[in-house]
Amino acid sequence: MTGYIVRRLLTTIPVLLGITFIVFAMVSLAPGDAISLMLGSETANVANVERLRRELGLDLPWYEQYLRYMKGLLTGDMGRSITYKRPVVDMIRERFNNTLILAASSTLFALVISLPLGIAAAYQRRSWIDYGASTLAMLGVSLPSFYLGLLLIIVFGLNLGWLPIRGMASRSASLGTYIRHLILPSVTLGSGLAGILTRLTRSSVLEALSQDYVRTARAKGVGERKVLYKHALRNALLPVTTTFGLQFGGLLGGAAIIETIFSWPGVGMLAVNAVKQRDIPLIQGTTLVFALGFVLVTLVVDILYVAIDPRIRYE
Amino acid sequence: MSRRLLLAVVATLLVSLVALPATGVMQSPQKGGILRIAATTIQQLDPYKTAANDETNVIGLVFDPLVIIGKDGFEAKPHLAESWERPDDYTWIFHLRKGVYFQEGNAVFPKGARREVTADDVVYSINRFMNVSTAFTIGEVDEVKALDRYTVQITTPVPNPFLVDDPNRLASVGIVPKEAVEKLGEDGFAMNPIGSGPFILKSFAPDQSVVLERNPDYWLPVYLDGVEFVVIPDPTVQTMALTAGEVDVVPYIFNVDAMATLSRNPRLQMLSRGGSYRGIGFNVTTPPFDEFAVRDAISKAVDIDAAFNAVVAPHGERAYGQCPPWVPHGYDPSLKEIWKYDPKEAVEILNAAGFRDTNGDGILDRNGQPLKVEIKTTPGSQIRVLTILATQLRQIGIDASVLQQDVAVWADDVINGNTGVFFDLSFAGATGLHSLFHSSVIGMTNGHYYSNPEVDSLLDQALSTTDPEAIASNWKQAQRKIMEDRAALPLYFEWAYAIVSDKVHDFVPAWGGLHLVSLENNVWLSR
Repeated sequence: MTGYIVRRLLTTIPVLLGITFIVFAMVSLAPGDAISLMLGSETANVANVERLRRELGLDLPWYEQYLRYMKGLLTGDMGRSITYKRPVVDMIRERFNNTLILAASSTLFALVISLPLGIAAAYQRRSWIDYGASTLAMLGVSLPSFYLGLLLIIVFGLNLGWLPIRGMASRSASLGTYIRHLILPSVTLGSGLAGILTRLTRSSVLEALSQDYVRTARAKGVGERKVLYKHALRNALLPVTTTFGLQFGGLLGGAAIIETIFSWPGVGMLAVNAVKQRDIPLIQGTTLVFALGFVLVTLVVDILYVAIDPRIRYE
Repeated sequence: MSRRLLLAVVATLLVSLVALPATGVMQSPQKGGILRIAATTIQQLDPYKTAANDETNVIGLVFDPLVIIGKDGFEAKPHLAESWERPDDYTWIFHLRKGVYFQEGNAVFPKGARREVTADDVVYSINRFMNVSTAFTIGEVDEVKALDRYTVQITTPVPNPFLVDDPNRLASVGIVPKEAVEKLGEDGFAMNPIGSGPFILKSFAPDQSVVLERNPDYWLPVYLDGVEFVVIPDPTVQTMALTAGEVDVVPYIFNVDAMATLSRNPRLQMLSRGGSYRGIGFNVTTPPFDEFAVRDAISKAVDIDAAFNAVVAPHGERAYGQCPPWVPHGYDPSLKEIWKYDPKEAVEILNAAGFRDTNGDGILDRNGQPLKVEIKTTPGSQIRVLTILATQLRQIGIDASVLQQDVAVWADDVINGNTGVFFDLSFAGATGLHSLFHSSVIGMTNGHYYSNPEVDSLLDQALSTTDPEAIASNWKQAQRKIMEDRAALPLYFEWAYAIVSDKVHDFVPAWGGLHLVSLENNVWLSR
């Protein structure tokens, strides 16, 4: 198992290298750059902008810029933001925990909603619970998150005034305030995942319940509760876990939009700013963080497999 | 006193007595309270490394510039400099206010170890600004030197008439203490700015909030206990937060579409100051827009008044040139006479230039090429104006469309000349005309690729004199020439608004930095 984890961690290196290359090439070849944006302002200090362009090597062909960037990266230097003139690593460090907190609470929300709902829907198939769960799941999957976000802000923030409409509570705030600030963004970000997982849990549990081993268990006189939780659910969770791992990437991507709507000071909001400003070092840095997050979660999911299904061995 | 006069006086007194309590005028300022200001993004607070309005707003409260732009009119007023003089066209002398101190109680100036702001700080600051800022320039400078502890002299190789009156020049240079930059380092200073301004930085979490508290030693009384900048990146959510009372100020509303709803809210004040020039620019080197006839015909084919009235009015003014009313020179409404809406004549001009609908598709063509106008623009309310104008162009047989681009792509296309027709935007500082049309900045801020030696010479002359009459006259002549050449088609000046809760008093919208405490205003909150 340890060998497997080490091997998996090693394979992330070429993946991350590939991502840096693809992102760098895409941003460099796409129209628009940070220097043009600076020069586009009528008040620009043209001489200083040109000097900045030379200093940062932005006048070099993009592949040379990439090599310069990679050289820095290998020595642990993620470069400086062109627009904000600060070290990228500092800017990400300030925000990383915030994104992690949002992602974790959205995941928690998705799991807390989807697992019980999916199981109940499967167990009470074609009942009102089933139909209700399916409708909710459909809504969760199909409502665009930026729309749902604004809708929740208007209803719960403005009209009812129950929850704050923006931002993260400061560090000195009480836990209650902290959680109140977390609710709307987490629900918005987690609703898509909750929808997908509800549907998947329902179908997997349904499938498991029709398997021979469940019939056998019931024939042996095992109680319904035990049949459901011990026999059916454990098998049903395997596909749910896989999907969860894959969807987590989507969750991180969605964070970019949700963080902007809810003024959540995370890496996603920073990434949106970086793209708007064509700030290549900052785009690279934020993308790398997301990629790394995705790769690590997939790894964790693969390891969880073993715990869920003892037949699986990574040797 | 005649009986009639006496009656009038009594009546006036009675009316004022009844009206006063109802309108609640003349409340006296109250001390205390935290003013909450919405911001889109705040990443760093080094006053010379920013191009973002929100960062500039914070910086304007932590640092003191030599001058600030007065609230009425757009002229420089004393701030850290008590007065200034210009012994000749190349020399400026500033006399500093005595007894102004850098903020204490920080890593650089511990409590009780405050230090007075002196001429050496001004010299250091201006030099650092000139060296560091990519967003602004104060113009060419030969030397900045301290004549004594409280006197600074700036000499320039050519006259610099806008040095104090342009909001983006000296008014943008907050004075910084050298030892803070040196002790904290460039990156450290950007996170822990120390100035001499009315508010001291208490905490700063990038993209989350900036909390400032009153500087108890400030040289003017400060009514507010503090100021909090609340980061809300989404403009829609910013106005929602204002309506919900989560913030007191949204400092910039650039989109007039939002004004319609906000102006109906009786608890909000709409404060306007300056704005932006919005027009259609031509890249005069791209065929067929390199032909005067084509540009002239386009200018005659569009009913700008109708589009302006439908979309922008009352939040702006029709423009006939690039210089807006708030720039002290160059505003010239008489340019109206050179523009005409006459679609018939437009068609005749195009016909004479060889454009005819030869294949019966309703689009004019020449040598088999249809006459195509694609207006490249950034997102914003101007899109609706441009769409109306494009529809009018189609009516006379021009294949016109509006292409909405990401700001970075638009800027790149305009700068690199990858345009024919584009949305022309300028925040219209004192030298906007030069930035947009002088040949020396082609491929930089001049996206028109317009080069006219006569215009260059007029603009150069205007920038090398300090005589306001001569500046205005040269500026207006250059502007007229540019507009007669149809290098651009001015559409309108759109007002910029700050939206402020009705409990905020004496707020003056930012112009070259936000100032809540100055010789002209002192913001306070009613409870």
